[in-house]
Amino acid sequence: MANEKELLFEARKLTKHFGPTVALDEVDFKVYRGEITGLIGENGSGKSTITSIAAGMQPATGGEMFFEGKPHRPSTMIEGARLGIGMIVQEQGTVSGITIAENIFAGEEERFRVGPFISRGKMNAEAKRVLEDIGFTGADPSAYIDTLDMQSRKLVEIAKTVYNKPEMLVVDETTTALSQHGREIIYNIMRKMKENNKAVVFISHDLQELIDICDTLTVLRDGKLITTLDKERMDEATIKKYMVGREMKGDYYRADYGTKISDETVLKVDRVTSGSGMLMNFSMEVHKGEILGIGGLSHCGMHELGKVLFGEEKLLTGSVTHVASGDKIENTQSAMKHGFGYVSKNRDTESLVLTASIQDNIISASYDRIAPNFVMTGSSVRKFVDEQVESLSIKCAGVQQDVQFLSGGNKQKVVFGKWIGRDCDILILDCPTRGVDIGVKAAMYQLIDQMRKDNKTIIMISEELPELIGMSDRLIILKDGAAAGEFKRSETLDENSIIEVMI
Amino acid sequence: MKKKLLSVLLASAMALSMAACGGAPAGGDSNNGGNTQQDSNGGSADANVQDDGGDASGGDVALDGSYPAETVKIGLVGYDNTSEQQMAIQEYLDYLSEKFNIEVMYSENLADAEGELNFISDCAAAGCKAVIGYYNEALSEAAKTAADYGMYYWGGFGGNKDEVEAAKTTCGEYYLGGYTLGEADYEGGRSLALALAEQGCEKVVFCSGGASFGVTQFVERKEGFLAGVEEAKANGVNMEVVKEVEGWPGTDSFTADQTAVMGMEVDAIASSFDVAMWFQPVMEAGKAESVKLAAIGEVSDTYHDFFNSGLVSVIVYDNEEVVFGNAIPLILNAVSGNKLVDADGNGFQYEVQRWTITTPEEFNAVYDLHDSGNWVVTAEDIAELLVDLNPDANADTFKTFYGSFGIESVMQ
Amino acid sequence: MSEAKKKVTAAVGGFGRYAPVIGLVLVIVVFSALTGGGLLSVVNLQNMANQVIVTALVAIGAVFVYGVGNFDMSLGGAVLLSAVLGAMAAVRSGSIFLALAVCLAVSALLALIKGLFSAYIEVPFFIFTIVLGSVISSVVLVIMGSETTVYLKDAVKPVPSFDFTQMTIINVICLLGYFAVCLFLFNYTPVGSKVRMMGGNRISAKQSGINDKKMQVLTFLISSVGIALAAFILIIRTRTIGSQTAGSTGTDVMIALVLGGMPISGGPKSKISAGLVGALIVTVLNSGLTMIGLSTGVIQIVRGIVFIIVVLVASFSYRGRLLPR
Repeated sequence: MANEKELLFEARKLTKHFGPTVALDEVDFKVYRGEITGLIGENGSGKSTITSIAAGMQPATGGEMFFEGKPHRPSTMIEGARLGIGMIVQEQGTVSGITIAENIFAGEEERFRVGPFISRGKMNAEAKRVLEDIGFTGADPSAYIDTLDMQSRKLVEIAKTVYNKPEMLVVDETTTALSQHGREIIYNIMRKMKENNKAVVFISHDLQELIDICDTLTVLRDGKLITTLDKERMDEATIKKYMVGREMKGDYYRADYGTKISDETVLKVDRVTSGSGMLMNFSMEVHKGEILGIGGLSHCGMHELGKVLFGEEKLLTGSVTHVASGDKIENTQSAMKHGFGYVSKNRDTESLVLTASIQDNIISASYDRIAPNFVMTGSSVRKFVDEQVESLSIKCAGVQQDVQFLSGGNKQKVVFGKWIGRDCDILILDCPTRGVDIGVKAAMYQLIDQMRKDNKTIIMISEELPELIGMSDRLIILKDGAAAGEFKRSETLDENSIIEVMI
Repeated sequence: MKKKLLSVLLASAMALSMAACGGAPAGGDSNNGGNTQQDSNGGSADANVQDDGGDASGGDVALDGSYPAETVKIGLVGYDNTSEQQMAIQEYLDYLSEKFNIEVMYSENLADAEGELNFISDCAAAGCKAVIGYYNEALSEAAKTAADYGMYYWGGFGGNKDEVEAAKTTCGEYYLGGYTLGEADYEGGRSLALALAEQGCEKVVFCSGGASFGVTQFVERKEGFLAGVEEAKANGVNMEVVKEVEGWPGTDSFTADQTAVMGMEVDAIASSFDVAMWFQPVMEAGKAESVKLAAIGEVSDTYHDFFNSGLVSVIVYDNEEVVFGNAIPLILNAVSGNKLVDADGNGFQYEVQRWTITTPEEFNAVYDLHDSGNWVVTAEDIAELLVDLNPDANADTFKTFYGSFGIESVMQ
Repeated sequence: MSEAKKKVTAAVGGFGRYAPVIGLVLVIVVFSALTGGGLLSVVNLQNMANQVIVTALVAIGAVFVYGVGNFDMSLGGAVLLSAVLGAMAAVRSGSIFLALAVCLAVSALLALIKGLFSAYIEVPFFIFTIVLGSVISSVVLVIMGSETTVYLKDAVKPVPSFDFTQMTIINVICLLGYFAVCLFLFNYTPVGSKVRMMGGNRISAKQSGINDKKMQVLTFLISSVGIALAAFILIIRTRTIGSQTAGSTGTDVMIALVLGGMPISGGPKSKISAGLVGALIVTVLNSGLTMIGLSTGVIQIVRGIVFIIVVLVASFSYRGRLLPR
């Protein structure tokens, strides 16, 4: 087999310095035609640096690159694209205020020239074909891109990249933002590339998807290439071991089974229909001290449920009741009065003030604790903040540092600190481990489990089935705004039986 | 990055150089600043006369900017640096600054009492010895502020006697006085009407400005104008006000009224302020021959051609030199310890004349005087009023001198 | 991020933080030199204490309003209306205490109107305040009717008047008192922290349980006290309130805040010192420029240049902090 493989891209002793920081340290990296090559590593391990150098986004400090056997030194992304390297990145890459078709054919409008005019009709028809090629149907190419949601915009971007027929496609942490359906589209594109004897470099945090898709998997750590695994050697434990550089303990998720859930109901959701219409006549009860997992496809209404529980969304009918007091939860203030805490799925836009310091963010939900007499002394603030920073081991230069400069994991820890510091009894976590490194993820799971042991109630909403299965005492799956199934914690619970209910 | 640094450097260089330019002369003056306090103490007439003043016999001192020995800084409170009247005053004071050792600081355009008081206190900090209240929003407070800082205050005119009296009280020994035009605004309005009557105008339009909003000045001008019309009637001229145009140019109602007036049979349009906004409508309506314009305004370029063509036939004019220039001899006398006072020992109000210009000859005579750099009141005239230079000078000679200027005397 | 880079960033950030104070010192040094020390004479210090007061009082309170991200263009109007009604009250009653009470009541009422609007109506707030500003000036014209100016000396019984030193003392007490209260609220109570968080991210602040509507009303009320004090001081100092009173206050305050280092869009970098430091810079600048006897046109040019430099420096340090790692 090995000698049949045709080398498409090669990096030799590729090195990149940012000032004194070494982002890439003499990395040798090969990409073959007809293969999907995975890249994995914790944040800052250098995986995006390789691909961005290959695509021409930034120059290398040292080393050589070869593409199709020729020396490869693209100075711009346009040059990289011309040579045949297409890239789908994590950030938003579409332009607002113009139509979908214009986004796809930006810079190539000339192709649709009829006489002195650009033919909209031709452009839209072509756009529709391109979108359907990748399996994205139902969009009107003449509509403004702003009418699409994040996921669909991502798909438009993907369509644009694929349309240019790259020899090598780089998919950089794109799937995090996508639902299962969107992911399937990307997987299909990657497979198709492979069938056509092109190459794919796939960067992701999601181990399972890498194992499923990739032919080889390269693990990076601290700018060094650690190992390259072939299909047979890919399993989560091995990969994690290489990524972290030590053996991960077995209890990545919680280890206990058969723990009895208290009969005491703390929270009651009664026939709720939410203002956005994403929840329809939904009822459930939450018990004290349990981890209640909520799962489903991305538009099933689970994220809205989180907001409803926290009093953040208007209800059309029904009620959310805090059982011990009998009070209805109608707004954030009443939720917080009864010890609710909420971590939003959109951490950067909803749960944090990015331009504010770590300290300001951590105290922002606990003024009543820190300043019961209205006076907020420096020492009480420091004590409160230091406690959280220490117990969560938030890595920062100081508590006055802006949150925006922290890594994703540390940002999330700050959000957790905000609610843990408040000593919340009921914590609603919407995608708590999204975009977080494995190491931090493990720490979060431990923390969540510890809170459970401290008799706190946790409602964990997640798009990742493994963590729902691994952590929940009970798991409710939503579909179209209603409960589609409920699962008890068990060692035998597997993803397939849940997926059946989800779809 | 480099560009940004460069732009910052450039900007700061500009700022500094500009500041330095303005700063140089001021720096030179401040060397003498130490004596300021002594001078202001000598408010009464029997204060010791300074040495150089004693030596000089009347009128012999060369008026080359060497008198007084120490530069007298004066602050002028104005409300619009671009108004014709203020520019004319500035021109006159520039002339006097060459002849006497004085330096005048002008305020920025001031709109409220706060700005007025702030400027006056800045003047004090800059070492001014007197303030000319050309404009005042808060007369008595302004006068008080000047006195608080030991600066003489000149000003207080117009119709509001209470204000002037209040200023006199709050300012005390630092109050220099100010002119009156008698019932200035009333008389101004009346002169407009009488002058038009003399020219045989019967149907007149009157622009009353702020009268309908209750602005005192304009209310009085309107009353004066109407009284003038009655007087004309009594003298056998069948004069009547066919329309009153309220408010200011630039408003919709004013424009509408202008259009209406152009459709009417009128002989004259009188304005209790400027009249320039009527030039174009009148000419466009082809009525330049039949309609006469009259204004309370300036002898300036704006009116020159139109007065000579006969379109404008009356201008009621406050000559800047006579009406405002008299502040200078009062200030110079006060600063040198020879404050001119009335019988009661205080600063005083004195009457000057308002000029009613009705012929192109009169207009051109005044206009040419300005144009050729001749002045109605020369530096030499002023020197005669300074006790240091002319021991015979006193309050009465001052009053007589300034009271005597009318359009007739200029024509002679 | 590398260590070296961190240091650079910290240095630039640190410079940004102290830039306003450095600017103030610079302006004082430059003008002291140019005026031969006249700027710092006792007389002029008193002077400046009197001149800074209106801008400073309004600007300090405005830090709360701007801090939550409400760009208020009706500050000058609020001072005007309070001063006019306060002066009328003084004239009718002869009592300065009643005048103060009216000033407080009027500005508090305006604060409530602004609060209700910003909390319940979905129109950009600054547009509302532009409209409010012009409505206020029309209302003032209507209230004053045939008079253009209210004189305190027309009062039914004499309103006490204050000499220069007394006035300075009243000013300093008002300014320091209000600044102390605001400093306390902004730095040592949850109010300031909440304001900063709201300005940084409204959604996050709401999700942290900060009562958005209540806080907005509160910020307007805090600012209204400064406005009322400014109006009151205008009344007793000038004893003359016209329809043009406080005409330039709105822009002066905005310039003061920018010079003082306040991000005009609010947020976590808001600071209460900006109001005071900025107002001082503006006052020293104005006083200094007048004292060295520049012609009025040049004064405006120099002021504009200083303003541009400050904005450049501010954007310089801002960019420094946001440069990619």
